[in-house]
Amino acid sequence: MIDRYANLDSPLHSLDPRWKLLSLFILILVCASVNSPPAVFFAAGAAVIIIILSRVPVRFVFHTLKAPFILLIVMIFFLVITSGGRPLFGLAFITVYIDGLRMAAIICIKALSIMLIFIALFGTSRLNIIMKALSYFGFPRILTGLLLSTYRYIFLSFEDLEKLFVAARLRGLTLRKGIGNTGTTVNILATLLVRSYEQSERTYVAMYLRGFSGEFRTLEEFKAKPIDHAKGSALLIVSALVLFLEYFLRLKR
Amino acid sequence: MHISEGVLSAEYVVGGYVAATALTAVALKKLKKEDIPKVSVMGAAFFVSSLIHFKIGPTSVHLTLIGLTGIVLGAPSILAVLTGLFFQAVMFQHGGLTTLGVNTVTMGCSALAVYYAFSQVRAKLAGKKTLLAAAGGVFSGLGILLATLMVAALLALSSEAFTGMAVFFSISQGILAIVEGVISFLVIQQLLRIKPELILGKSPPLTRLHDDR
Amino acid sequence: MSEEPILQVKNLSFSYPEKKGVLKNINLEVERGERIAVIGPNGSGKTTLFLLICGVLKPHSGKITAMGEKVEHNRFNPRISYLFQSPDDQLFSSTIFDDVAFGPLNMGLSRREVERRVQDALEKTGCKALAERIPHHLSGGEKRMAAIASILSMNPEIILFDEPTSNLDSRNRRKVINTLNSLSQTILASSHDLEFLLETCEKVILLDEGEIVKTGSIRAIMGEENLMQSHHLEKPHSLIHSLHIPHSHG
Repeated sequence: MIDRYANLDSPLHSLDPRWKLLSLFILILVCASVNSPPAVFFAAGAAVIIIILSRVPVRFVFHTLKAPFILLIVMIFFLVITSGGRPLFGLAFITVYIDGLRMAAIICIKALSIMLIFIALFGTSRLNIIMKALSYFGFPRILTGLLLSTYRYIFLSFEDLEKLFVAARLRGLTLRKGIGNTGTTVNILATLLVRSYEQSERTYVAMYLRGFSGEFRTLEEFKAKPIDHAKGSALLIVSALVLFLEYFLRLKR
Repeated sequence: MHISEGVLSAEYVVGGYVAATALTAVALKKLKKEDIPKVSVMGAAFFVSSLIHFKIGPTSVHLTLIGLTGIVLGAPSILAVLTGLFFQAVMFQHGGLTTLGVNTVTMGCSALAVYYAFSQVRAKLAGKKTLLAAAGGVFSGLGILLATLMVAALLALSSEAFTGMAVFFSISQGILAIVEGVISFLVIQQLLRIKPELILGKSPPLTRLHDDR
Repeated sequence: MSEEPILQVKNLSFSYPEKKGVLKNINLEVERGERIAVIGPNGSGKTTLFLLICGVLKPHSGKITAMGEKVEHNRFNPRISYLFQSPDDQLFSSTIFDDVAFGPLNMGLSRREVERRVQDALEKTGCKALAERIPHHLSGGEKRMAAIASILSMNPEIILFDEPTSNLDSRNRRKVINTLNSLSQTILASSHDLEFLLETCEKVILLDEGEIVKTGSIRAIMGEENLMQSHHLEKPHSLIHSLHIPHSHG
């Protein structure tokens, strides 16, 4: 889980969650929106510095990035051989294009920056705190409430699913066979859905008995100090610099 | 089934968020308070189910169960799709924050389309369970194709260089559509047997909290 | 006693659509501060009775009065609380603090009062250290105590405990017993753990097939071996004097 290191102490951990959410979310959007190499590289540098400042262990960062990056590389591979434009070299029936390579590199670096900032954002605060910050900005509470209770039930469902697989295994199916076995998979899925449905009925009763009226209320407890304003503004300036690099160079061209 | 971080340009990121916000707002407005736990608990179940690797021959695919989500949850399924994608980003960094909007729109519309199509035939086929389940399976498969087409179109539109990538993507998703269709058919059939109200949408009032479990 | 009973159930009957006669003509009176055990085999209607008392289910006939007011179906009444059999049903928030605060927040209390009640409830149940944890990471015993905290924070006057000691080890079972014994509320507890009931309740209601078979002093009724056996229950070991097992109090 991404917030495993949410209890460490770092300049990012101590940053007011509202500032953190606002400034890092903007930075993520900015990273996604730029394309020129200077802006992209600058953003990547900033992302690396931010993740270092967050003190989230490097090993955890690599571990988190591995799977999405493999997926990205697969996609990128097709881009490189199908993009068209100037060919770099050909191998049998595959042609590698320079433009494709260039685009692929930019996409990879952008994705890396975004993912690093993403880890810095969600890895240094507990999810419920981020949700509270979201509702501070006017995000509907019903949605944050939904997200948080989904979060709670993902763990429960996962446990259920594991138990169902173990039960299937005990009846003579190995995990591998079980997964490839359509009948077992279908049974497991159907059982999980039925159990969850019944669970949701009981959960509704539990909520109703504690006065649920369709609204989620929370206690807010944010206090921004001058240092928060300083850190938050600094992060916003980083975003501004990235945009400046992108558009300044474009105008010059 | 979703677009990775870093691929889309700014217009698509922002446009995706705007469209997703509109869809979510409508869903929230229509959401009844009794359905809130259903969306979160069932949403969690669908999310967890999508983690199952399903082996076909030498490869394995992840089920999305998008069609089934639509059929079971109805209009609020868009919220389950949103939360599911959000947690995919937060827990596994699949998808991502910048593409959350776009992915919610493509997958959510697919879920809604399946729900709509299914609700058209549900009453007529209520007596013929196998046929009803088959319809659900076919719609679910088509739903995957619909989402695939939308993703491919977005990729191709956002940059000409992505066209080839979009074609490869579509082909790989074609296989998924078939698998999803078959699995959805079988799961619906099973649910019609053990808990028909999940599929038929006529959930009785809260009267069956079991005395002993 | 001249005081009016805190809970009164009159001629209560209830059926589920697929199961008739779940409860048949139940009559019950509970005095303020009483602790009543509800026993009976599986399917005898214990949970249904509780769900009717707290207003989740609507009686087919009969009337339930609590604190001098008729219990209305589908109306939030923080004065009557129900503890679910499984704490996973009870705890749906992402942290224990949020869960314990959920009821008080919905009661429209001031921020200060909510905080006070949450701290109070956490303290009473020994859950202070768990406040910021997510329910999934807790042990079964911790979850149970947190679930109890989540209803205590509403300051209910009547608490219905449904199998509060199920799936607990002896240490956590003891914690539940001690917590229950420290409460001043009126309590109804259903359980198959008869020893637990002997330690916490004074009176007992024996339910079978939707009917009250017998009510009275818990030691007297549980001590009647023939009665217990005829309703698929066992006489608790601590009441079998011939074995000379001394009965200990917490």
